[in-house]
Amino acid sequence: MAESAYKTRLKNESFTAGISRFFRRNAVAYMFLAPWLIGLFVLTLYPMGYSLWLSFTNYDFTKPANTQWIGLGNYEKMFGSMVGVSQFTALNGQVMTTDPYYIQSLTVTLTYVFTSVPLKLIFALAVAMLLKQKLRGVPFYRAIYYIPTLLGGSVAIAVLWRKLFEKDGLVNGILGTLGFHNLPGWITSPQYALGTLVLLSVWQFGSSMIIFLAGLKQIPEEFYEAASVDGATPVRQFFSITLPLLSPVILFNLVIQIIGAFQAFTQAYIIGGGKGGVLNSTLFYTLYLYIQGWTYHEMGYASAMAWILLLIIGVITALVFRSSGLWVSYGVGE
Amino acid sequence: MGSVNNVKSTTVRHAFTHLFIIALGVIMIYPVIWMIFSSFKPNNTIFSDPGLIPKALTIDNYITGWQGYAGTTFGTFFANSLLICTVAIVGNLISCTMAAYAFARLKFTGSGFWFAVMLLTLMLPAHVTLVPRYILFNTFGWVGTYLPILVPKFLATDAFFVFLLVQFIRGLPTEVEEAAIIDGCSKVGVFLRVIIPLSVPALVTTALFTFLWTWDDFFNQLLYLTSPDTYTVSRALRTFVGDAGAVANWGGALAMATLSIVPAFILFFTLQKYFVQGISTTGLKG
Amino acid sequence: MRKIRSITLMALLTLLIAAYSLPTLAQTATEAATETAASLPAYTGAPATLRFSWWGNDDRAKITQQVIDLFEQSYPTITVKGEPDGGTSDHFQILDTQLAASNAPDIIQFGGNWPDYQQYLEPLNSYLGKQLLINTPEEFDQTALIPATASDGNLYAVSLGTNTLVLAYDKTMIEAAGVDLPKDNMTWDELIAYGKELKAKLPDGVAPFVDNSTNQANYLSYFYRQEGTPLWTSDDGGKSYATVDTGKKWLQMWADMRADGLIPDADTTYTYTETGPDSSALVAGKAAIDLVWSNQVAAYQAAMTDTLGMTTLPAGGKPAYAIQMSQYLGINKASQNKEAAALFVNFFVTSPAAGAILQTNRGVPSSPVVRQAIADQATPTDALVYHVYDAVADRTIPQDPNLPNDQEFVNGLNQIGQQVAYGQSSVDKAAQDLQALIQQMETK
Repeated sequence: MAESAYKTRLKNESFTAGISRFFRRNAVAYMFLAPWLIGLFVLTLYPMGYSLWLSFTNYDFTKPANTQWIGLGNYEKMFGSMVGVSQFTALNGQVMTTDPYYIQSLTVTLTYVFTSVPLKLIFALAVAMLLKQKLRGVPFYRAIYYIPTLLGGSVAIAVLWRKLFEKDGLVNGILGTLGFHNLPGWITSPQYALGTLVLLSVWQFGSSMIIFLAGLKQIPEEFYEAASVDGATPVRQFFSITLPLLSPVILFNLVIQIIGAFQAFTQAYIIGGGKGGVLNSTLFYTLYLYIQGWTYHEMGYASAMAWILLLIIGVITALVFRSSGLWVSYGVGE
Repeated sequence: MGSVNNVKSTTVRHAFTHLFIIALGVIMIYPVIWMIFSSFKPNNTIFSDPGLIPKALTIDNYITGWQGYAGTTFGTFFANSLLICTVAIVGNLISCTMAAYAFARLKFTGSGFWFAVMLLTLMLPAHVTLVPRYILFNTFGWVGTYLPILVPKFLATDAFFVFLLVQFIRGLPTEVEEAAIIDGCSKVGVFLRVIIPLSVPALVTTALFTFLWTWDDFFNQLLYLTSPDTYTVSRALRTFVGDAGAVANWGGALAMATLSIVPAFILFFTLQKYFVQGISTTGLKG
Repeated sequence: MRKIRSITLMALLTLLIAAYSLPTLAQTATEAATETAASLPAYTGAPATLRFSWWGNDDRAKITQQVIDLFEQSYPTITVKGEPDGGTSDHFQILDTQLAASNAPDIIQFGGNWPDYQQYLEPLNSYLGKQLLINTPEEFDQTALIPATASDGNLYAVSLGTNTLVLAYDKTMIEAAGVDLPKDNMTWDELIAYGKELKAKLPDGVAPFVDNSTNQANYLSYFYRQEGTPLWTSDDGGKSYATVDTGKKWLQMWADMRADGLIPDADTTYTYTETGPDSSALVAGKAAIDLVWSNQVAAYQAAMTDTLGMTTLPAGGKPAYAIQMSQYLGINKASQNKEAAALFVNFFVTSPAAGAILQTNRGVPSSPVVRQAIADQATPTDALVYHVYDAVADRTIPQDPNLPNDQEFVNGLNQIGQQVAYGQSSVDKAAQDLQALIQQMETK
């Protein structure tokens, strides 16, 4: 009895001593880290846990008192229409209708990501190759090409874009003078509307271009000289020297652009007038999440949508990294 | 093939490249140029006169647009935008630099773990925390004020900047710091007197992108600003254009849209090298 | 002392209005203002600041601001901050956020959807006869109070006037085509036949009608009423009689009109949101006849050079025409200055001076005094509105309430209409979807 009490005391002592040692060693570092840690817990981790909980409820911010646990109801609502279910009863007895537009919003976003990102990177790389040459005025050109990126995220440009691609807009005006007539209203055609948004995204290729330029400068000039001597054509040089050596940079750009593209919102919101455009052809995932949460007050459902988005981004990013072993080379090629 | 010929063909090739780059560049920025020129056209000729150069020049659009709406002028909207951008810059500079210094230079228990967490938050879509943050700020009574936009900046929630500054500080030579410590300088002292002065380029990049992102940010402003006298430029532009994407005063809308991009232009052309540095080291999006 | 100050104010006011509006209007407004200065209820509270939010275009914002200025002249200790929100969907989305954050304006403009907000609204009964002088027939049409009274017997909002749906037509264009102007109270078949006649004479690229099938719920709701299957009624505390059949008839009729070129192609249709004159195929000259709220016709006319005419919606089936309350003002239950807010609402709906500025922008005023004051300024457009009121007199009914979750319903309706227009859905399928949507909105 006495012995065990002693042991406990000793344990406690060393425990408190341990704590104070921990504090002595780490106090300064954690002081510097404090704002970030508070932000992490209060504004990131706690909200994440909270939104996970919300995703299993029918939370409505105008009627918080009516919140009920509905189990997987929100998730069934999302994916039910895929298996042909139109109505089901949630855990709280509430009859819920499956969402006819969720899959559409997912399709729109995936289409947007898988077209805009590759196109943007190809274009950025092409322009970077052009500007890589030892020409006079490259900094100036680089600045010009960066302007769309500089302004592209703004409301002003989204407004302008809508006006450009309307049926009576500037683009059709210019094409009209070139002899093309009976052109569609690009923004109001279900088959072209998303294309105009992809174009808007590709147009903002500036930061990818600058990253590629920095990457291209790292490739030693001797490699190209040696290849030239061996009689390799510029095309062959591009595929056997430039691409492999640039692959880490491509991976980096790819990941950043994918994550960004999944979260695109402002342009779709402004161009669609706060809605998903004609036939929901520009119903971006994030836009739909916003409409569900803030227009229809379905915040529980919006939270569930957010978690599925997180999962999708996580899986796709992981796949990109996994596949990188096959195509990214960190050494000097061949 | 003689060397003179060779030089000549190189010159010709270069001329063509220049021409090509310029032509492509003009196409690229044509929409922006069109917007700027059109903002000086009389309101009723903006779409009927597709040419670039206005047939009649007017600044009426700027006068009518500036009046804004709800009795609030664009003067107020610009002042609001500048205010929140300034505070956001201060917040990010303080909080991100502190966190970055800890990660880059200080040895502490759990440093590897926290750094990994920080990298993971880089990839976290903002939408996951959106709803709870809104509820949280609403509980605090902050909706309708600038606090939901500004307070996170003082808590280093823009992990991109922490990452940027960590990379930069790690690249600094350690000799000066070691000398300062030998001279009896504390870690706080080293941070204030050595790290901060040496990090000025990265700090400028941080300030620059904080400005741009806050200026262009639309989503948070849409959620949290509820009355016109608190609106920022991008929030005001949206209401100015209307939910139908249709305005009677297109001239005014284009004029204000043009004004709204002026700050970004000025910063970009005066501080271009910081932009390039920031983007190429960490892939910051513009 | 007080009198002297109010005279000075009136002088200032005259200058102000003279500077901003037509001379005749200024004169009338000043006269009217002088008349009523004495009859306004006094404000006894501490200096107060009110927030007032509404939707509408820039012109409405301008005249509303003029009324606010006038109110502030009459009540120097009350300040009013206007918050115009653009379109209705923006207005209600912003309002929802504000209400949830307990940060909503003191005075809020509603449409027929005010019952969705009853929990946030101040019952106005105790203000009647004190701040709100609207409780005698001499002051205010008492029938206008009925649709603003809830089942608990309390009055929750004050009507800003009446309006109704009309078919506005481009008179200049139809005359140029050499076709007779449309007659009142045509049947649907006659209207469609008229459209075909028009189609043959109109220039290429101009359709007889705007596609009004699914851009709002009102036309469809009118048709459902005519068919004896109303979309939403107050029976049993809220009941729908809608059927798939009626939906099918409605959608089929518009699909046929599209096939016959009586409405523009889908692409042109959706270039315009049809939420107001700023985005309308009628104003843009793409179609000759459009469904418009009677109080909005003046704004459409102002945006066009062609002259507009007006006729009734088609007749047929059961009576369905509602002369209804256009909009309402409600007072936020959480307001700190409810007395001042009530005075503002009172001023807005009963002051002839305010009426002289607002005219019929928000509908035909419910106050006989205001109607009298603006009678001699009635525009040709106003005369046309009164003409429609007369023409449909024998087929009017009390207005039906809105289907709950109005915003979500209209969004869903848009999608269903687009699916048919772009050939992605058959009329049968769309009618099923529409019925499912209606059921979903009522059970939600």
